[in-house]
Amino acid sequence: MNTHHHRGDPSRTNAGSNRSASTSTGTGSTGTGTGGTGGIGTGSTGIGGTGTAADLPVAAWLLALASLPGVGPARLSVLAALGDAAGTWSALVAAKGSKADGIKAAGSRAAGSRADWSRADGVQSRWEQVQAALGDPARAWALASAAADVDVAALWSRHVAAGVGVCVRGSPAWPDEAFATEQVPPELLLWKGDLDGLAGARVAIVGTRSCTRYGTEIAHDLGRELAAAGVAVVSGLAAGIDAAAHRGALAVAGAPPIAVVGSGPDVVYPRANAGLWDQIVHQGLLLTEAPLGTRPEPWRFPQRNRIIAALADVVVVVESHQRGGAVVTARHAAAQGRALLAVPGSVHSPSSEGCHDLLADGASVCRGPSDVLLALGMSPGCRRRATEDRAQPDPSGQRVLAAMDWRPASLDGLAEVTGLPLAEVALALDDLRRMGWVQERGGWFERVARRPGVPGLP
Amino acid sequence: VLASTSSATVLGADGLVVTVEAHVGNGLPGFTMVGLPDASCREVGERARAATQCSGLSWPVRRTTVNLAPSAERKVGSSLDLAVALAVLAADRQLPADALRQVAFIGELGLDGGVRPVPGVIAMVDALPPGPVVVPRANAAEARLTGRHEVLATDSLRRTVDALRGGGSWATLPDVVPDSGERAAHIPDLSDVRGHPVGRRALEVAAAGGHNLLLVGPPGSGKTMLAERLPGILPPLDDVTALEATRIHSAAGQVLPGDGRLRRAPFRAPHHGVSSVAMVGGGSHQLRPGEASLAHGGVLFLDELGEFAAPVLDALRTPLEEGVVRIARASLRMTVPARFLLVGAMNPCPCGAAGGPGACRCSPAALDRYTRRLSGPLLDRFDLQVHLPVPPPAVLFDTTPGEPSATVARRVASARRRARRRGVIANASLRAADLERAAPLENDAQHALEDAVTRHRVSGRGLRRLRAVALTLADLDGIEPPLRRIQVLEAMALRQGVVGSTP
Repeated sequence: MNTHHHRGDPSRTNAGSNRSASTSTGTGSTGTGTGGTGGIGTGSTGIGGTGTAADLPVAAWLLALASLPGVGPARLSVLAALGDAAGTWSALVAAKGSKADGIKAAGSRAAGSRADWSRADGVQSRWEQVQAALGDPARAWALASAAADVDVAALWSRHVAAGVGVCVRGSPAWPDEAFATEQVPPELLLWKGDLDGLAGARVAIVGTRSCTRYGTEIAHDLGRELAAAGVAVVSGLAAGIDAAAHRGALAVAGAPPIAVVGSGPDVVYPRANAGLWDQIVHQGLLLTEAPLGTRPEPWRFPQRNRIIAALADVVVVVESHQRGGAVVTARHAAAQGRALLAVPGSVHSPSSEGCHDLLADGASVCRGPSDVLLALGMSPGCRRRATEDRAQPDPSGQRVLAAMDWRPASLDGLAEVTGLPLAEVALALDDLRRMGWVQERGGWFERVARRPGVPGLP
Repeated sequence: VLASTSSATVLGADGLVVTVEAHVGNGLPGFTMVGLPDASCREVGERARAATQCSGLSWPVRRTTVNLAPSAERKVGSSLDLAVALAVLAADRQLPADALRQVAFIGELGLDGGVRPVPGVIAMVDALPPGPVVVPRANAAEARLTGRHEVLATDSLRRTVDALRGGGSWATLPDVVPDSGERAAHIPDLSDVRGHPVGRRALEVAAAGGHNLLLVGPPGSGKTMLAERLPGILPPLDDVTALEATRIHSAAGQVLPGDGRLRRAPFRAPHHGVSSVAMVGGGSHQLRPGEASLAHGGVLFLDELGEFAAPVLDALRTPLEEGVVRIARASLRMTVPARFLLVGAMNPCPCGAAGGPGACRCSPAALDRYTRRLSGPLLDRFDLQVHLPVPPPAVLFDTTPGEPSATVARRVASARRRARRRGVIANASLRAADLERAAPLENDAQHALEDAVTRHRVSGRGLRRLRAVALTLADLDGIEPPLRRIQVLEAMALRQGVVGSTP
């Protein structure tokens, strides 16, 4: 269940460099192209004879391509399909230098003092391939000019130094089965933490950032119970449901959580989750397609969501608005043949509308962790019984509780419905809070359901 | 050949006594005015000439010089018109110069010789030494408020000249119309408000304790409706405040009640596009009281608080702290009273929907920006911060009237009496040490406050504010300190972190 057994191993402390070396040993040093991307070249098609460049693994060249502005998963996939990422890179750099005197001359300059025209020819034809693949010469030139400013070796060593691993498609650690049905699978994944976390069953818990207490609780409970059952919880490390699910998974000694983020592995977003981010890096696994320093641009989140959907065996939507991102993730996952579960809420609650739509369209209902385990084909085991160990509230407390319903209630509404003076409502609510019957957040009060075991919501 | 008399102008909300000297002598005919008159003041020459001629008097066709002393201070406005015309006439020997010497004249002239009312009469009269003072008839009521001056009213230059020559009478003083219930009727009553138990309670506490109030709620939830009813439950102004408020309103050219004295708490609701100058007063050449001072003794209501420019809100911090506005310019400075109850209203978030957690669709970044528009220090000044949801339909259609303002006002007045026994106008102005003494805590109450510190990270200042509100609650309910847990909890319930809090 606990997959951290490598953690103390000194050979893994510099996990990033070791792992990435292992993913690229077949390609970089031996020069035999075994990469799954197909036709990965010698890797020594260097530029200007830079000594270090020749030793860089294919992951470094893909990373460099991914770091160019305007290169998302789709363009990266197109470029990677050309094979020989290093060759592509040198063609870009050469193209930039050739604007004045023609690419052939630049190619020969790049090849060194011995005018190696055949190699220059290779650069020329690769440049033409790049332009054709992008389908837009202007875009190709833009990439070329951006590429000129990138020091690939430095970029690579920064990632190594930061302990960020780079895993390319086709390497042994690559979760092939996850991306099998994906139309545009990622070419590379950057990771921090423990890559073994990908080994077992995975469940994505997704939902809205503006959730209710109800959603937070369910996400937390699901995260905790699933992690305890050895299922890795995959989510996006956003505010709201995502954070609650991750926190739940971290609350028990179980399968470590997997966070897929839209920014670079060093760009914590949202800032409020900095602590959680750290915890996941140290106790779980953080994945992203974005190189170090990448800002969380809006277009990266749908891309991030497709990875969450792909990695999950089962997707659970806890709370989502009608047109929320979680619904998009869920529908995408369902289209890829993943099991889809949705947690029902109050039909009055705008933050459950998306879930209800999914249920209406045939998603399975999620009433708790056991439904998820069943969907995974696991035995839910014996359910822990929820026992009531809270003290009974006094009469005015009961009146307030009865008035609360299961929706967020305002003080004003409670005073209105109960007809009690404000002071008594405040007193009753304070008592109820101490006894664990209600929770308060930003002036809104919500009932707390009777819950099995393990206390300690965030 | 030489004559002088007294008059006054207004600076901020204070009067400036001006000695008007006129000299009519030999030389090329012409009119010169010296002594730092500004543009509006310099025009007096044209008005005085026409008014004199239209009054059947003659304007001297000689070299005429008028000096305004003290000559280092800038004079603004038309209140010197009458004095200038009379001084010139006396210097031209059309009037006995002695008749002007012990009398002060305030008033603007029309070209037809009529005397028109001017703003700031009470401040001007107050600044003059005791003695007779001639004012426009429409300003007579407020001029008499000082009680130290013999107020004579006039409606034209001709009448003034005749009276001074001993051949005519002054205008009859208008009857004093005491502030009747008629004006009170314009203030909406709390009985129209349906529902809103929290809003009503917060309003009452704000009035009783002088606690600044922030109402947060979606559009249409009744924030403005509640705020407008606050003056109706505030006690009438005490004599000192009433006089200060009247001076400010008079100086700003606001319409005063029939007897010239403001008694009811003013209610000012400047639009959120207001400039700093309009808010706290000032202006490059004419220092005028701003909205903050006009709200002195009453309510300053800022609807859409988040839409006000940050410098405008920041400018309110001094008056909130010290009860006065200080304006300094290169040549002038002034201090104007500005002790008001600040009531803010705003939506809980940019989308305004906020029917509770889960309903709001604002992005965290947008929510963050919205919250940051209000500086922490300003937000901290609101002792009461309540959330005002849209009442359910059943409540809106309920026809039972709510508790009327008069009943609430009685409770407010009795709470204020208790505060006065502690030596302050309202509990909000109790100093830390006095508060400690006035509001001892029962053990339970102490625990509740300690709990608040750990759970909500309440600052030391916030803790004092909570305690002051709890004391006001006890005052309203007629309970003698020590404070109990229920008061502390209610005080906390009335100060929720409601801005941008909808997750």
